[in-house]
Amino acid sequence: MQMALGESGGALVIELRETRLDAAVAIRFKDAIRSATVHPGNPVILDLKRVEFMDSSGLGAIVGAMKLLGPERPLEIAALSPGVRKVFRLTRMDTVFRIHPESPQAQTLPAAE
Amino acid sequence: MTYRNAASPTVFTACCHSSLDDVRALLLQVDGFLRAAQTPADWIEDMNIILAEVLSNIARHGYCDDTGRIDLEIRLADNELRCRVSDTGRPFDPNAVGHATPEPELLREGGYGWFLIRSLARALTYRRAMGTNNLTFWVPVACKHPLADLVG
Repeated sequence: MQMALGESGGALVIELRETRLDAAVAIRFKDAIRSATVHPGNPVILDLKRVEFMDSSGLGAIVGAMKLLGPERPLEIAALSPGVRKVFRLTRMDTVFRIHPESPQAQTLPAAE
Repeated sequence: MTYRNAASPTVFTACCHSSLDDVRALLLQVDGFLRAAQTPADWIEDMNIILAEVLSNIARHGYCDDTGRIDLEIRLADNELRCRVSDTGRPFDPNAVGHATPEPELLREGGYGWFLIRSLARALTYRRAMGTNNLTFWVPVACKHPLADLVG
């Protein structure tokens, strides 16, 4: 699970460097978020600009990551492709997350594992 | 292992093992087939979502290991994509699932799959015959479609 970490106005930015967030990688994604969020920063912005496809397992993993972070550290989502946006919209999970239309301008942090 | 049958521009037949990695490989082949046929992006997205949910459900729940076989056929017509998925795993009747609209505030981590399938697929039909699960459905495609020329 490739991720790049950044900082943007106090937020921790996690850019997912994968083209698919699906059932095959959902568990690895949650583990990687757990590792990445030892870095400070609030809120956590998940940049999905490279993700072309997400299924319900990927969505479930994002919800799991949100619950992992807890209410004091909101998880926000950025840069959804049309297919990913469709899954959020159909399930109405776009009402739960703050969704940024564009990727945040982030200062790069040292590479995640 | 995935195996795709001889190339036709309007028919895609392939099979894969019941592992999530195989399912992903097969989905990428489907995506390539639909793109090559110049299917509009919106319908490729729908097909990708439906098939990802159907195939990963079979891989995770239909078989007890990753050596089961899943067969897929997609036929392109001038205004629809017809699809059939077959497997010899456990019987599973989808008629009972996916009818309820998700309640986002419950923050569930699962249970969205069949709702997505029902939201996007038309004429979803399930039959169990001779130890085989057969699921058929179709996805409508825009009327003015480049395939109209191909299909004739």
